[in-house]
Amino acid sequence: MSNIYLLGSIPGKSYRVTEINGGHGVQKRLQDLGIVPGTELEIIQNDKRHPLLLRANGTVLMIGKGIAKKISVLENDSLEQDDTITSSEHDKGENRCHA
Amino acid sequence: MPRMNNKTYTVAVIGQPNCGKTTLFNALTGSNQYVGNWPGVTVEKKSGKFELNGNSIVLQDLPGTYSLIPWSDDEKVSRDYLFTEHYDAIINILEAPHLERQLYLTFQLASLGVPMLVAVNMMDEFEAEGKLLDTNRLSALLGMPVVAMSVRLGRGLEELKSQLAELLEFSHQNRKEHAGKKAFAQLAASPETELLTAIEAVMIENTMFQSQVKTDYPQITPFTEALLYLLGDTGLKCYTEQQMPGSEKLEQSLLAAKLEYCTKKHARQTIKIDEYIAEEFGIWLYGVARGIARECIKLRKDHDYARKNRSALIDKVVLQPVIGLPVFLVVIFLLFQTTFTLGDIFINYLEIGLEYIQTIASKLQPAWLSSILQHGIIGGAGNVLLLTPYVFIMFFLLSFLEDSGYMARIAFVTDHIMHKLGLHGRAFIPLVMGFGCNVPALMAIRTLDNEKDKIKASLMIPFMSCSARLPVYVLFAGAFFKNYAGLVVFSLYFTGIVAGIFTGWLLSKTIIREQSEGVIMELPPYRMPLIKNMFLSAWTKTKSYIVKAGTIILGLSILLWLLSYYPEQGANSLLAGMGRTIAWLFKPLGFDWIMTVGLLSGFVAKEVVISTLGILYASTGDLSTLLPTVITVPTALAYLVFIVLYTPCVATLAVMKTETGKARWAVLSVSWGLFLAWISAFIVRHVAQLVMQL
Repeated sequence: MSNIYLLGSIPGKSYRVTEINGGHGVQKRLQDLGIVPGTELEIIQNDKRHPLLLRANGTVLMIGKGIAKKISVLENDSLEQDDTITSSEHDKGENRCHA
Repeated sequence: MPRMNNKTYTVAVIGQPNCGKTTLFNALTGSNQYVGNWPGVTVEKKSGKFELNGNSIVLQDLPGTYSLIPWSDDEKVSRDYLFTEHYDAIINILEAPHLERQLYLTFQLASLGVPMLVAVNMMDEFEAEGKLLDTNRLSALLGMPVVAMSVRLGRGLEELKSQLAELLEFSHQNRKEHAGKKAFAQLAASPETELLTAIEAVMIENTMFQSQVKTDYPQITPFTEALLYLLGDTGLKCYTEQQMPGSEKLEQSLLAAKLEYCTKKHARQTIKIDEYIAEEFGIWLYGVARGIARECIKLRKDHDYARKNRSALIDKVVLQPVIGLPVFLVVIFLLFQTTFTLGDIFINYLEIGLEYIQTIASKLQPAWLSSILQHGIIGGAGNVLLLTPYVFIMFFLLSFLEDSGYMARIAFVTDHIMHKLGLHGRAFIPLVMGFGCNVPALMAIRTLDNEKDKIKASLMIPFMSCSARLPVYVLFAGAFFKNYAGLVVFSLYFTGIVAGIFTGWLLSKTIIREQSEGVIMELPPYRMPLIKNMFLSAWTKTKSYIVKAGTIILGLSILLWLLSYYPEQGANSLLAGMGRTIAWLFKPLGFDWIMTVGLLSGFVAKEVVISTLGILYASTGDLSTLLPTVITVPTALAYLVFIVLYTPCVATLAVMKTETGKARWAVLSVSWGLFLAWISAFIVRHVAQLVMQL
């Protein structure tokens, strides 16, 4: 499975954040609300007109389309393995730094 | 053991938005204060007092904030308080259901090394999700006392008090002992903890830097400096980049430490090293929080997801792409309809009382006293007071919208409309609050993160008909359009909304073209609002309405009465002369000099329009039976439209100036409002005349 933008995510599926590309402000705000690379996002609603509706760390967040374009995500396997988070986070860190 | 120490301690209450912070504050101090459910409603710092074991505790309520690195102005208030003021302890209130995310702030607070207590709120919701919290374990891991609470239900309040007493007692004796850094000391060694220690050492070593920071932020510790610096605090970065003796060395040492970290993380040096570290530290802190949550939260086997589903189920309807907006319109319609229907019941009784007082006043001697009482005080301020129930009910229902969690949803439903104005949905919330009163609505724009958004929203707010305009609508609508009164009032509100949106659109096409970045916002779970909170909130605001009626409006009523009786009553009075000098301006709209004076006085406060008309038409009884005999229907409509759109009151303008920081926006608001009002009233009057001739 490959990385997609959060904007193209499908309601009902869950994803993991791989990269946040927004400016410093956006990255900071997302971080404050608990969204960092590695965070699991469960998409509730994603239609043409409205902001995205998703669940992260148990809270419901709305994220504007412009910002959703700046977040890369990877679809979770149907078999969820929570224990792999830490190792995948580290990989992501490396990738980002090379970019 | 109650000890009589007679000391005064200051305790700061802080937490993320919607964690029940204000409810806790109310529960402890019994203060009359507003509780909201959308992020950042507590805009002002508020303090209250209570007694604890003979000591006096001053509780400081700080605006909800997600972190100590501020995003909006109200978050900055919290940070500045914590970094600069003197306080003895912090109560950090967390929401149990979102423990993991909220520990992010807890760790930042812990870095301050101040005596601290963690209150885990909303245990009832948490347990309803089938979860159990091991508070002893949490307390051990954080190195500070933890109290499990349900502030709404009063659970844990006594324990909180006794823990707080103990904490203050202990820390008073040995403050240094109780540094919250314990929470960090217990973390497993990692590249992050090593970097933190290294940066802290660099910051301590550089005395010049220390003294610079300490002048501005006396309460901050080098450890907090290090943590926030690494989390990407741009405010602190200014200090490190400042030119001062030794600043070069400081830069170098910081960079060396950061590079070492990157090597440990197998990351190549990049230009965006600070952003890389900020993100890694975010990941690390949330990782730590997740670990703690896992250790302290146990799932009950028989767990039941009823609660979670309820919120999600409501959202399925309320936020549904197609019906979300109609649902919102219905909610707003019900808000107004309930206000009128319920308000009428109360007002009918009040009217009987007012008439009774009126009859007594009419029998008094001498005649001038009777007149000033009847026409000045009762006809003026009395008519305004009469409409108090509308104001109360409007505010009561608005606080229901906020406390229940629906207010935040409005941001979602209206986001795409606001986008056309270059704003995002969050800016719609102050607009809805404007229906209550424009002043708090303007204060709420502080929660918007961008300067341009603030200005745009603040120019739109005055078109939202506040509760002070409502009495004027109701009076006229009742007098002229009996059976259609509700419809007329609703259309007036609608006119205001359209004018507001038009204004925003125009601004986005002309002077404020920048598009906002887009919304990132939490939608809190639905909660049944506490009647007590709604009542307190509505009452505080109604009280200020009554006070206004008893002071400014009463004073103005008497002044207007004097002006209208001097040198002789009626058409030859001083006031009539004043009205006539500018009446030509309003002639095309059909307003006579009395209506003109009404508009002038409405500038002070919109309710005064009624009292002015009451005094000048020398109404002794019900103004609503008198008005149709002196004003035609098209003119009445034009007058109403004018009142919807013309200048906001003085108080609103004053706040607009302070909030936007510039007088010119207030001036623009006044001129634009007058312009729009005149044109619209003109069109309405002439169209109405044409229609009535058919």
